Amino acid sequence: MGEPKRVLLVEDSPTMRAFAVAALEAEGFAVTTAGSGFEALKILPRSRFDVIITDINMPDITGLELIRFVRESAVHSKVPLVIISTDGAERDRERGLKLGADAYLVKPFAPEALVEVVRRALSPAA
Amino acid sequence: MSDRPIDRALQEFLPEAQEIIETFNRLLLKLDEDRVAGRAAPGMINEAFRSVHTLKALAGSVGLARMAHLSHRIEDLLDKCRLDKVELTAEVIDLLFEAGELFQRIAADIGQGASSDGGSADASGDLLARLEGALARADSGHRDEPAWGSYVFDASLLSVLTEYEEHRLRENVRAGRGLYRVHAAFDLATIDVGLEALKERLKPLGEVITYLPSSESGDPQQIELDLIVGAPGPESEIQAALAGLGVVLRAVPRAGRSTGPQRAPAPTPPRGIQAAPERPPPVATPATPALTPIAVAVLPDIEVVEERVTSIKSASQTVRVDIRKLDHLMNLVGELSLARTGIQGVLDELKVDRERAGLARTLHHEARVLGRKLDEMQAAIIEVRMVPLGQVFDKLSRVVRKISREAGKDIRFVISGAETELDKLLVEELSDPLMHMIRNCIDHGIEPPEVRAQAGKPVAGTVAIAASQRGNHVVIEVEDDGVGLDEAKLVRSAVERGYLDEGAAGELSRREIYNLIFLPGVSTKVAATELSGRGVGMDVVKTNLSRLSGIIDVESEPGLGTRLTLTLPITLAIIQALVIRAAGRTYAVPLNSVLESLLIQSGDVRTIERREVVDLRGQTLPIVRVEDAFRLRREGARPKKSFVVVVGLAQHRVGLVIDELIGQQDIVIKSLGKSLDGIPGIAGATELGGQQTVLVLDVATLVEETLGVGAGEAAS
Repeated sequence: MGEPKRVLLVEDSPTMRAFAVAALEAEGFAVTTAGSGFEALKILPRSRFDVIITDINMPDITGLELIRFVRESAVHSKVPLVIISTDGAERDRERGLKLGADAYLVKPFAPEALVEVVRRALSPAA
Repeated sequence: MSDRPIDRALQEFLPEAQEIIETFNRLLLKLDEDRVAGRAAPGMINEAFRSVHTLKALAGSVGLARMAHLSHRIEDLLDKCRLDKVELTAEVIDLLFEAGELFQRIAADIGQGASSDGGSADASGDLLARLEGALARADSGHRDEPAWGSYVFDASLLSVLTEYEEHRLRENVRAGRGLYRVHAAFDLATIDVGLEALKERLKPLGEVITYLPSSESGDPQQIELDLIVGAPGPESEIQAALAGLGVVLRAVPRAGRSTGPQRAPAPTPPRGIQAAPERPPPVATPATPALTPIAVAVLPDIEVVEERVTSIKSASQTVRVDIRKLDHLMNLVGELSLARTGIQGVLDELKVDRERAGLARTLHHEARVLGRKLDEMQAAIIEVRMVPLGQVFDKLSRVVRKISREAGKDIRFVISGAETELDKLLVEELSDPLMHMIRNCIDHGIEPPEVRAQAGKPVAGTVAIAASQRGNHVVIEVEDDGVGLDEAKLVRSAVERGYLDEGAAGELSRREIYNLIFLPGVSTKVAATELSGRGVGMDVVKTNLSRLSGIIDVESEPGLGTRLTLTLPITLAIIQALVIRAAGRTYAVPLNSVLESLLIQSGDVRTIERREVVDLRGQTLPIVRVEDAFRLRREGARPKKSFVVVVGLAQHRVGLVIDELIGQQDIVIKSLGKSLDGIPGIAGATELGGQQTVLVLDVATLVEETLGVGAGEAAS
């Protein structure tokens, strides 16, 4: 496997964060968390990630704005991007996919489902 | 166990859920206020939406199906409200309030060990049915989204808006507000502060509809943001407000106009989104800098920046801690304090031994250092335990709203001193007594609207709650502008219940009469209303408060209202105590209620109206002999000289007569356990050094029994 894959998780609920982090770390991912879109903006230019997971419904900088930011950035323009959002936000999710997100997962989700989606986003060929 | 993701989530679930529910409920109160005042509050509706949105995901993750479903439907309702598809009427808010209460109940059940939310099945089923009704009505009342007016938005902007942001944009257009783009660049290190400053300036002017980040500058140390702002005022006003921040303000272009600051009402526009061929997209493409030619400066206001960096940092560095962990820390400090007492004992013995004087000095020094550090540690832990009373007051606002509806009375609830801090446990324990006090105000104090109108009072009654800190105590006053206490009824009720005979009743002062209300069964009401029937009497309130070392007093003015004054220590955890002896036994008296101590001769005691008193600087001080209070049998005669420990709570003073003052000590009060709980006059037990356990006197009760019309005296 080599180096663990680096994941940026952007989610404003601490519980959902803990849940996702536990699921990913158990599978050997190195997870960095951001509690808001802004925090992600601050982290992104200084680090490199192999995959980014983001919530959409966040205050100020929404997931959609973050997705566009990521796609326009020099470093992360190609990085796999996974949306995690609750049902009921189909329209926003659609927009997220149009803006360049690769996959989405509906909250609440089983830990295996998250790991599965992230794995597939990392190696789309498989 | 705990590395299974679901367990980790469960550990975090409850505190976060409770926080969200509290926020949700607080928002509802504000929304209701704004609704009554006729103010629209789109931002707040969105916040409420976001809070249930998160709650839904949380509840789903930990398998709380009912809570998840309920929050899902509430989310739907709020979604429609924030998109203006449903009007936020009183009925809708009522539904939301009910949901908030149900959420709270479920969370409380889980907190008490319930493993599912099945206990709330009936309540949630009923509420859901009505929710579906409201949602169904809403769907039929759908109205068209307003159009874009003459504004020209590039597609890349619109593509990144969430449904809600797009709706707010349309609403701003519909309201004829000016739309502006504020471009700002922030240094990574200072973006929090800079953005906060920018938001603060914009807040009074209008609404920030969206934040668009871009990384086009290519500088990894900078973040550029475009804020889309809707504002009713002229461009010049916004320009002036943003002066000095180093941001660039531009009006969003409109078809057929220059980007100048004209703000004529939008003419009937063509529908739909317009392309903007004559202007390059302002954000997304490299062409943008040509349109924003001004060098974008980093915030120049360095001093302000640095000052606020610290505050923002600390805000984001909080942790939530289970109160039991704090209790544990507190107990550890308590035990350390006991160990220190033990060391002091050894030291005292060492001091006598001349051969080891050097060792004694060293130990004395070390013990002092230890003592100081322990004091600091205590203070630090106590500080951590302190939370603002506002937490309880918020809950009370909801209760007031509910009770006043049930009682058909219009109530203005005025809160002050919500920032006053108190031990978290005390705050928790206070909510019930305060709720009963307020219930009483509304039910018995505030007159029905017709009666108030006749009396020339404002139809809406006022219930005010005010908190303030006085030394080591917090004083909470609950006041209404209602009818006041009926002295005659109180006395009659007390006589009927056998607390007083007619003769004794005649001798009572007004204050003593009012304090009859704290006796079990005594009331000013003839028939129990729904409220008083369901609620508890003031005697229970008083008992619960004295368990918290609190004292309650009542004042009243016929026709003008009633005021209940509650005095509480700020913490119960560790207290300084005066150790005393009386009739061969040792007791501890909490030092925060000790004012002074005096030496008296037996001849100094006089008797006035069957009460023993001594003179204290010209004032008469009622005294109580500790041996009498606890019916202790004394071996031999009373000593000729005694000590009087003057204790006081609020304005009350009483002298406790004892034989000996032993010294001061820090004590941790421990409960006596169920069998001995509730002995009047005893607050608990504590361990002194050398495994000696002594009782801690409950000064509040002793003072009241000596001065007031406590049960002991009334029965005599």
